Formats: sequence, C-alpha cells, structure tokens
Amino acid sequence: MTGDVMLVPGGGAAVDGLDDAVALYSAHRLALVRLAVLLVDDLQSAEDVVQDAFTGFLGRTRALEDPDRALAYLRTSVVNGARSALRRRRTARAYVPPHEVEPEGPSGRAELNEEHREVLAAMDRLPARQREVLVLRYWSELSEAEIAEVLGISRGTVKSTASRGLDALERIMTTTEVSR
Amino acid sequence: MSTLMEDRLAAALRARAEQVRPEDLRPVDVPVLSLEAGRTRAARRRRTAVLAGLAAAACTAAVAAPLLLTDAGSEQTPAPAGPTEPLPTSSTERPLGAAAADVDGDGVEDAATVVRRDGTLVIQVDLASGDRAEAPVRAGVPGALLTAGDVGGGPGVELVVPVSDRAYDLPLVYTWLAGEGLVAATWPDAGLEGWRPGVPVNRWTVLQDGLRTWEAESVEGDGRFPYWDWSLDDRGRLRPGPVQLGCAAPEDAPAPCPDKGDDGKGGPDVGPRGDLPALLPALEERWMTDPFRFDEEPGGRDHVELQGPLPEQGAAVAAGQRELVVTRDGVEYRAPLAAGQAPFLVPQLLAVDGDEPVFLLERFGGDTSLLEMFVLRDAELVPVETSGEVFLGSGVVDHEGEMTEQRTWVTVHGQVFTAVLLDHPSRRHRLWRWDLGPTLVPTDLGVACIDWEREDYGRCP
Repeated sequence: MTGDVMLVPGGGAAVDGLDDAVALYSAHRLALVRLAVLLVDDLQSAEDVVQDAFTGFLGRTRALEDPDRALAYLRTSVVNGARSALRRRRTARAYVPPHEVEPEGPSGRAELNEEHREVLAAMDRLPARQREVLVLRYWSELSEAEIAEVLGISRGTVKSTASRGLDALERIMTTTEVSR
Repeated sequence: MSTLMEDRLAAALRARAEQVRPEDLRPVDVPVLSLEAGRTRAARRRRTAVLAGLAAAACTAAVAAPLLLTDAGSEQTPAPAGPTEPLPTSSTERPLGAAAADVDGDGVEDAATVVRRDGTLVIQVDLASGDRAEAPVRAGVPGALLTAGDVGGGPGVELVVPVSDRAYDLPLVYTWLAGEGLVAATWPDAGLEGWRPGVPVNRWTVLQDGLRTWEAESVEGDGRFPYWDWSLDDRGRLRPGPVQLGCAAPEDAPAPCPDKGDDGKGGPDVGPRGDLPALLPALEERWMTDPFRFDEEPGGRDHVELQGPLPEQGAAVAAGQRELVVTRDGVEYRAPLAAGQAPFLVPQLLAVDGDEPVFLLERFGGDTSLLEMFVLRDAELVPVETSGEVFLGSGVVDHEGEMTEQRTWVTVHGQVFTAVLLDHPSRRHRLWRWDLGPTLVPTDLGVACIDWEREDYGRCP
C-alpha cells in the first residue's frame, strides 16, 4: 500500500507511511517556517504556507521513499507558496485607495539592529527569484544543485541569479550608505 | 561579488530567521478523521492545523490528508462500524463544480467534483474502480468551476480549475500520474514562451484535446493571433508547443486558419510559409511615452521609460536632452540619446538572442524612420551598433541601383525584421532578421512574398 488510510472502528486510524511523513515534517517544520518568514516576512502567512506545503506533501506518498527528495519537495512547495502569498498581497494592495495609510511593516524587523534591517530592506527590492536564490544559498546553505532542484531551474541560472542578486544588493547598500 | 556582502547577507538572514522560535509557532492542532457508530465525521480540518514534535507512536488519529486513497470497496479494508456515508461529509461540504471524465485513464469515466470543506477547496474524484482520490486546491482560489480536457500525453484526462475571473491568470491543472494519483501539474517558470504573466492580452482555454493559450492582441487585416498548445510530460510539468498563428475573433481561442481562397481582397498568392519564421503579426503602432514594464512578474519593478524635457511639436531634441532610463532589479541605468527627432519607445521586449533585455526606440522624419537598439551590458545601458547591408529602419532606399521601399518592423513575438520591396505586383521582398551579437546583424532570409494588406506571407509561388 502506498499511503492508504485504513479506517478502523472506534475512531483511530493508522496510515502506512504517514508516521514517517509526520516525523519528517516535525523535524523540519521550524526550519521551513523560518524559510517562509524570510520570503514573506510575516509569521502567520509563513505558517499558512508551510501548512499548505505539508498538506500537499501528504498526498505525494511516493516522496516518502527518499527523505532528501521529500525535504526538497517541501522546500519547493514553501518557496512556491510564499511566492503566491506575495502575489496575493500585491493584488490586495493594488486596490488600496491612495488616501489610505500604508500599513506598517512587520514588527519582527523592528527588533533587529540597523545593519540587518537595511540588508533586509535591500532584499525587499530584489525580484522574487533573486530573493529566493539568495535565501536558499545564504540561509538554507543549499548547494547550487540543491537550489536548482528546489526551484526547478538550471545550476547555471542559480549561479547567475545569485551573482546578479548580490551585485544588486551591493549597489543598493552602497547607494543607501552614500545618501546618509 | 564581495565576500563582505555575503557575510552581511548571511548575518541578516540568520538574525531574522532566529526571531522565529519554536514557542512562537501555533499550538498543535491535529485534524482527526474518525469513525463513530452510525456516521463518519471529519473534524477540525482547519488549514492552520500543524504538527510539531509529535512522536509517531503517539499518532493514533489519521491526519485528514488531502489525498486519501480510501479503498472503500476492498474486502481487505476493515469495515467501519455502522452504516457509512461518503467520505468526508460535513455541513460545510457542498459540490461546486463537476465534470465526468476518465481521469485515471482506465477507459471508464470517473466523477470529479470540487467541494468546499470548512473553507478549503478540494478536488474529489470518485473513480470508476470504487476508489476516491482527492487533491487540495491551493488557498486563494475563489471557486468553483471544473473543466476536463486532455492536456497530457497519457491516457487520462486532466481537470482544470480557474483561479480567478481574470482571463489572463493561468488555471490549475490536475493530472493523474502513475503511482502518485491525482496531482497538481506545474506550469513552467514565468517568462517562458507562451505566456507573459499578468499581461491582459493573454488568454487560455480548454479544448477537448488540449489546453491552448493565446494572445488576444488586436490585429489589423484578417486577425491572426499567436497561440500555443500545451502538453504534459510524465512528471506532470506543462510544456508549450511551438507558437502558431491562428484565426479567430479576439475573445475566442484561435485555430488554424482556413485555406486561403479568394477572399475578394485581391492580391497574388504569397506561396507556402516553408521555413519562414513568424513574420507577422507586427506589433501595433503604439509607441509609448509612459514607462513600459518588462518584469516577468505582474506588477514587477523592472521598467523602461524616456525621461527629459519634451521638445515643441515637430522640433528636434538636443543631444542628451532625452534619456533612456531602465530600472532593473532595483537599479537605474541611463543612456543619453543622440540629437535628432524625438524618439519613441517601442513597448515590446525584444527576442533577438542574448541574455540581457533589449530595448528599441524609433524616430520619425517624414517617410523615414530610424530605430535604435539599446542593451544592458556589463551594468551599462549602451546603444547597439548595427552592421551589414541594411539599415535598421524604414524609408525609401537604393537597392541594387533601384529606389524602392524598405520596411522594418517588430513582431508581437519580439523579433525584428527588415524587408526591401523587389517587385510591387508580386509582393516579392528581400528579407532580413536582426540578430544580436556583439553588434546587431541582419541575417539574410532570402526572398519572401509579403502582402501587408492581407497580413499574409510566404516563400512566393
């Protein structure tokens, strides 16, 4: 059986393979939520994204055969879910009448030091793909091959995207520092 | 690339990530799928349910996994106590969309529905075999339509769910993969041929034998539109076929044009298309002065525009009076423009090879127009030099001792062509395609017959 649910009288059920899925998810959930926070910068949205990823993951029972592949699948789902969440947020904001005050940024960053806030603000100005590559490389510490698998792109594209992203970050940071 | 920048980035990301502590996560809320005498109940299918630190041995309740393959008809499955109802049932579940289609490719029609359970959409397929397969519909999809169409190369039929009312939002496609069941197919990354995310002229439709996307750009003449037919590979990834030109009303999906007959418009036969690339449709003449967004993402930040004081009507601009300004990845690049007639920005991202975006300006003077191409190279916005036997523009030219017309145009696909009229009655032209290398070079495509009025072309009879 591959993930079939056996229904037993009395209200309990055991799923062949599900225990492994739960264990895998439990072990990596915090890291996945942190990954999502770095992409969407909002804890509630991040938890929603990760929950959706896990929900979809449970259906992909064959992914359980290889824990590394399972984790890559979860990361991919989180990255895609974060991107969707940001799109919905942009769509919603597009309809905010001009006279309304923009909501304040997430309070999490307010507790960081100025250097970190500036770097993260510079990251906000990058396209989504560059942000994703940089987060996966410099926080998740994935290899180029692993990043390529998560994002479904070539290793060459990972390399060039990371390079462009860092160059852009450096320019933005330099402009920020010069204007002070 | 600076090691210091890498260190600063890593430190900032680490600091932000570590603000999320285990105790900040929502409390454990395990959805339960349980049986009680006389009824089944799916309890607490909240999207916010999470599992954390739950030992596998203690997990006695089934997580309400969206993809449940319940072998309801199998003798090997312990029978639930008391009469059962179709799983799952709740007061919030009601079918919204439905389709009958052979999803798993076993030759027998299955019944697919979209149901809403406690605020979450789920595709539910009651297979002819007696099993049931489900897959979640991602959050944010408002509802309810479900269509079937044979997109993939496999034996089954796909299920398609629109994600919004906007015709230019790609739908969700669900397919059956051997060994995996019902899964959501994946679209290629944004920017691949066949789709420009968020562009209102994009449309999609499900046909009986596939999924088609097209551009509803209004076209003069007989109304040809580029379209792509999509297929699925064996990993559930959607792939576009080559671009084709079809005929249709703007809001209907284009289809291969009927045979050219006498349409009453006159004009000679232009011959078969042969090896010619898509020369038409040409980009509508909508030269812009507003910023043109070329970012792959809808609402993205990349854009190009002309800045600087505008001259009086008909007056020339001084050198540097107008600038081409490209904002990409949050960084601004500027190129001063040469003196001459006021340039216009061609609102089309060009596909002339090369890795960097290419921009086109056009200046007009009487019957002549001159195009200028700019490219971002080595973090600089620079004009591209042209080389070769033709100039990048339109007007009256001396071709092999004869004064004739030259036309340069941009297609809706972002390719640039130049044609010199060789013979008016036959519509024969000498044709070049512009390709970008270190310089912009016209590639000789030989002779073609181009009927501008009928928007038709071919290798001449």
